[in-house]
Amino acid sequence: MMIGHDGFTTARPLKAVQRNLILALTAFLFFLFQTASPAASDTIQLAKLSWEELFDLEVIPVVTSVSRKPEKASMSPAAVFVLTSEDIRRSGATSVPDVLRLVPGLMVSHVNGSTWAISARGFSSRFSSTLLVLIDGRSVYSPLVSGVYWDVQDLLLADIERIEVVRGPGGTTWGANAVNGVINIVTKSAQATGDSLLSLDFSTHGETGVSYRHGEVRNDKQAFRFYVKTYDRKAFQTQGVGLSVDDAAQSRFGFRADWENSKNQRMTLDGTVYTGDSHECLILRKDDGSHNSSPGVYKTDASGGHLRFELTQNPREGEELRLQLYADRARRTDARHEEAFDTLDFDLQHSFKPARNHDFVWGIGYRHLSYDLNGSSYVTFEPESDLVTTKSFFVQDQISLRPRKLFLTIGTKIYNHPYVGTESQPSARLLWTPVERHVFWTAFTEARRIPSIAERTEVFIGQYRDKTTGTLTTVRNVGNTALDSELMKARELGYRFLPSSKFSFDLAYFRQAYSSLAQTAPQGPPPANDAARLPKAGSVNSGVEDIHGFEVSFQWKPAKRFRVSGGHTANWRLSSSTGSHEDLSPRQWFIRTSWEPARKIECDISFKHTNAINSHHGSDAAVPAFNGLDLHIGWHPTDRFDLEIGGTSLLVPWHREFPAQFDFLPSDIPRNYYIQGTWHF
Amino acid sequence: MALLMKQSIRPFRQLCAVFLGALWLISAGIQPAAASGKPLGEFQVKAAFLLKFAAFVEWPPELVASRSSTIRLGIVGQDPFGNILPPEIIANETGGISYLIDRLPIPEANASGCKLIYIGGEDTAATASLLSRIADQPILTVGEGEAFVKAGGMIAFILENNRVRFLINNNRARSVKIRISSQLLNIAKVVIP
Repeated sequence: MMIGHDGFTTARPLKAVQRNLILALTAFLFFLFQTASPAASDTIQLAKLSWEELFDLEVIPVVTSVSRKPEKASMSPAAVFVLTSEDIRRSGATSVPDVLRLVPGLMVSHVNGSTWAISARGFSSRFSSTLLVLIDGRSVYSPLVSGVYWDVQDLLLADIERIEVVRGPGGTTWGANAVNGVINIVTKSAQATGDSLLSLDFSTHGETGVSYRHGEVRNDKQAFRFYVKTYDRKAFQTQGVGLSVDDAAQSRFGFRADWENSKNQRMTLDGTVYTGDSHECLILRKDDGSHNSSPGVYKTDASGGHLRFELTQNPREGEELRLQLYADRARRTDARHEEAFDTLDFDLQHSFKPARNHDFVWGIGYRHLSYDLNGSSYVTFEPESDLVTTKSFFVQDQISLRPRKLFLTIGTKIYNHPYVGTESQPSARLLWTPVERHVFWTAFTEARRIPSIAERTEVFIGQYRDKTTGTLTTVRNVGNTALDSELMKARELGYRFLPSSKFSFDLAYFRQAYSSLAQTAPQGPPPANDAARLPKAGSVNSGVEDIHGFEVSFQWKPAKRFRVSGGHTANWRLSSSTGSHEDLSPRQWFIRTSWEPARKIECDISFKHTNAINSHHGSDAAVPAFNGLDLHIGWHPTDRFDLEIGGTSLLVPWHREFPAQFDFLPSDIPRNYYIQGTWHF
Repeated sequence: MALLMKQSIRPFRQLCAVFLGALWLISAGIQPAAASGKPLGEFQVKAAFLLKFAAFVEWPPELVASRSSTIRLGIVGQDPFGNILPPEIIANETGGISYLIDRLPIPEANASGCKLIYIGGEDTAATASLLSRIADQPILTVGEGEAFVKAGGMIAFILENNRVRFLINNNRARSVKIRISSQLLNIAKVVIP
């Protein structure tokens, strides 16, 4: 469970920051005054296009993650990015984490065969503690580790309608733990998946799997689908060990039914069950402080499932009532512990227009979580089981201060959690469109992370690094039940330039100040009854961090069958008391081209550069810089058959994406070629 | 390979230069005459669809004879188009059809002078009552979503993969002697016969 407390920094001189900012500002001012032609003449030009050309025009995608009601992504007062189902298909990816590599500003690291670390705006760890992940409104964030078990967050990728990614805090609408971002995976309605499909994929160093979906649209009011998916993932070579053991296998079944009771009432029922196992290479420390000299291979078994019901009612124009109920069960057994989590969640949301220029949303939530943990000779938990009930309330008003030009969104979430008591997460966001095609936004937000169950109750042998001397001490880490939540205050500034349907440009600057961050601190000499005589340590809310950075991306479609997109992400620490806390994500930039050389052929080339992750305590980089080149070719000879072939990380035979931490050994990620065939019937 | 690993240490400034260059090229290329000069708003595209429909629809002959070639297009209720649709569009701009565009309030909408109306907004009850009120008039009704055609509308816009598509209820159109060309029926997403 213990996530190493080794730290790495990627500090850059501030001078470079200033220069970059000045450059960016000049760009703003230059384009702000390049006003465009009147909209009416555009309409007439558009009307001259052929039907086919009109059908090909992409309109601005809609997102719900920012304010929990549909709005245009380009008109959201937040750093939001939307992956469409077509982006997902053309990525050639077979897992959700690999799909997320397409999102500018997200740092996705493949740690070993079945483990990923995903973060936004810094703080990358094996379990990223500050990114909230939802699938159809259902939280898949594990309160035990304050993170996401990405290996079991899987679904039929063809069933995903879109993935909305909000970088930066989303606590007002989504609750605690949405500190650095929210990932919201939205699946298609069963009405939209009326066909059946069979998909086979094979890869040289990745996943080999089979998926089958059966979809049926009974009539215009009822539809359902179900799928089965099973895969085997080949083992990668563990860093510095020479073993290839971290293979994984998983099978899952899922279904979704949608029906319409009346014109104003819709219902959805969906569910999954899954089971899988995987292996990983670890060096484990026993309770007496001793550890095996060589790494061992340990198995993880995971299983679980969920059932979710959603009811949406539109009593009158502009008013919506949405009720969601779900039950979720997750079981996991690995070398160190056994966990069983059962969640029951109720969520009610009501949106309406109390006055012409107000869009009001409020909601209440109740979550009942019961868990049961079993330790081992490596870790113990005190207590081993508990009931955790959370009550929450949120309210938000979007005020149109000047029609179509200036919007103010204010709101807060108030929750009561047994670990931290009653807390609030307020936010204020302003969106301004001074001239058509130029959108500015700014946001002031507060978000919190509730301490994880592991931080509160886990006892394990860990290592503590003294931040002044850099020396490592083996300690007995004891959970701290008095731990408070971490607080983050963010200021964000964004700009979007949308000159035409062929080009868009997006820039976001953020400054995020964290306080009361949980960090390991020595807690005095070993107690008399400790046979191993190990000094005690535990988490305390003493950390302070101040970071800032920017994310920039563009999309350009110079020709009908050709598209280029690119982006750059960087962040810096301004000050930090945590010295050896978790790592900031390194700088990244990418460029991607999507080209259709012929009618039924697609060709996608993607290049991504990730800077080195520097080691905190040595001259060598913990993870060297990496240039990744991915290639994808799709061939769709008929409506009924798709063939996708491609390769990932083509430039080098293998590379690293994650640093080794004290007891945990990541793998070398190999070059991979894949082929996938999909039949629709 | 080793060379590639070492390069691009200072990528931001280079990227910035590329962005600036690309932005400048693109914004310089925006001219009203070029098809590239349009914002990618959903209603911008829908407005273009609205203006194109008329060329693929035949109204009953008595209606055609009684009026000039100008089509009166009514935007009923909530107007999502704003200045995207100007009050008047003359023939040479659209290739043969002139439009007069009227904004009509929904409760007492007097649509009888219009050949084509668009009913926006989310007030489903008001939409349904308006549709039933004009059910016997040869007016091509365009609205939003599957619910619209089910409520007796003729053409409904839907979004699919962020692209605009439409559904047609041909039964309704034929009942008031509006003939929708087979070309339009062929490209509609769903046709209720």
